[in-house]
Amino acid sequence: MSDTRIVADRVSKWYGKVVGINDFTVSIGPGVTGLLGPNGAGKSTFIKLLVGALRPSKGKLEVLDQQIWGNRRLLTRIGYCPEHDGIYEDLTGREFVTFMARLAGMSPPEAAERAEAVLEQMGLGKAAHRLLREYSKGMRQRAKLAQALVHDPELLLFDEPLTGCDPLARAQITQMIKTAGQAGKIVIVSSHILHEIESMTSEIVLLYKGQVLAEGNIYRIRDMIDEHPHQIRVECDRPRELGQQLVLSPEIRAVEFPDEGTLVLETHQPDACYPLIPKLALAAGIKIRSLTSPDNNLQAVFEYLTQKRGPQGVARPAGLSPGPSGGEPRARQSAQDGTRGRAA
Amino acid sequence: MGIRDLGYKRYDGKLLPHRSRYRVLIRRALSLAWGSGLMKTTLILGMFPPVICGVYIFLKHQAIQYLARSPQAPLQLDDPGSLVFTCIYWCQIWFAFVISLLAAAPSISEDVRTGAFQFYFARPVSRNHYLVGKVAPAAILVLISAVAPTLLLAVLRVGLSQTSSEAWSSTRWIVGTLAYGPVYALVLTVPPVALSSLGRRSGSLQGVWATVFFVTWLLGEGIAAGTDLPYTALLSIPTCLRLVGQLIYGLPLVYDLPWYLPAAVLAGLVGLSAFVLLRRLNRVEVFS
Repeated sequence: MSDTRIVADRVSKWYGKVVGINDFTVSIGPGVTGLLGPNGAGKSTFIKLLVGALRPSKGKLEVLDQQIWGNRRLLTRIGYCPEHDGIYEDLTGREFVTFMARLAGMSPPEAAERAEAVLEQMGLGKAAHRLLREYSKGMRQRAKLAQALVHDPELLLFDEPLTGCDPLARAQITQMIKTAGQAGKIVIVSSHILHEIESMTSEIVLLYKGQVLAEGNIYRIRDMIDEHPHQIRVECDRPRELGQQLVLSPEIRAVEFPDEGTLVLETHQPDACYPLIPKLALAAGIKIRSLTSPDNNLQAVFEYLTQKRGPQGVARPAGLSPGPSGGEPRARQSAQDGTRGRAA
Repeated sequence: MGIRDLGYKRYDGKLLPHRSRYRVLIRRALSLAWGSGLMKTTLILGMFPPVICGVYIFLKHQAIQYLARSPQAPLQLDDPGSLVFTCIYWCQIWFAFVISLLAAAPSISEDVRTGAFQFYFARPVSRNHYLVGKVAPAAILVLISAVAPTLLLAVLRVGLSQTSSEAWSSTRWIVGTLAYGPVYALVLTVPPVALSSLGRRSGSLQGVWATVFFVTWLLGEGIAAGTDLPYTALLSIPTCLRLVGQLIYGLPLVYDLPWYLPAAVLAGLVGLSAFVLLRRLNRVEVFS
């Protein structure tokens, strides 16, 4: 199988005065790699640099062991599925994918044959004759994926591939991506949703504000969430009474009452807390209206990671390599400093 | 409902050389153009004037032959071959203009509007591929609608010749059409394609092209005809095209102007358009 790699060495890209990505160093090998980051983190910029649609302002970028910028012939080995639609509405699904196969260099009969096969694989076989303007969002997404796959590239770049897809389509696309990775292709998938990436791969590159925050195993992210004081928001009819009950348990670190009828807990052991809350509420006859976790999301992890950075750079949980670029150190002001009220 | 096996089926075929992209892009654009009902109608209607001109040339030629054999005083008639230029300029220019409006003026703006650029960028398509893929299909359609039927008229004129010397002198209509055709096609396609690179609203750009074409025509031709200022005719794109055509076919120029001026105006127009087009595409980062 191919040993080729993607190597970004201190790559930066500026759009005028706006930074797209900054001092970006990363190495990616065969298999599926998730680009994970909130909106504006630089995921799409990095993918566009990889496909040669943007020129790096600084640094060196090698794709499949070659410089990608200005090397348009290399694009026969790359399949790119952009985030946004940009499809000729007057083409049928079959015509669109065949056209893209022809642009990749396939002969007419081979392009037609491959387009048919890929559309069938993507579940669009029966809709191949329909105009793209008649496709649903999920079908258009699959058509875009089909054009990326049709010429059997070594490197697949999928920018937010699950956007707009229904659960079945998500499962199909996720399976396809995993299979491609297992087949030895280099597959890069971007998303801002943790569980989407988690369903495809355990290898991730964390991006934040145009920088690589960390790269490595996704399960450490989960651990970080657990290490991070976890907030649980409970809306119920007697929050103070429930708070009194909860604060006695060792799992609860702090309790606060942001408004009437709401209770916010902090814990390091969310798995233990989630069953405990309804149990205590049931025993006390308290009616719970909702139980949510306001910070069980990627943004919280990014904030946590960026806050953990010291002057030497990013925090280094086991299994994750730090990003090469240091961020601005920020004082950590979460629950440890006791600024929040404790229930008496 | 089960989850399909979406595993890869490896492609083992060969990829065609990069020059094949020219053909792919041109064929795709022609195929899209042919899919438009308006385009089909224009191309079909565009066949009628040359047919009518062909019949007229035939009848006039017969009349000349008849009169030549007549014992009465010979009645002089013009060479019916002059109808070749009349056909390509006065008749076919309308159809060619509609084609330039439909196929050239929205060609790049549609890619910008739909975001189709991102798909071109992700394939081994160079700036030259892209440029040729936009200009050539429109030019081919103009050639098909305006130049090819005129060429057939010129061939008809040669075919009607009674003597070898007449046939030889009539070949100038064929040579003229072959020389004039590319000029005609370039003038009617490169400027609107350049215009289409300046925005994303196809309708507005089509309107601008129509305005440029007709307003300059009315102004230039109107002032030149109504006053003693023939140089104002150079303001008009169609009039310059007419003067260059008369020059190529060896016909007297309708305005008393140095022969090279209309040619220079058209060359400047096409050159400026090409410059704008290249400059705009250079701003697209992937092509720079």
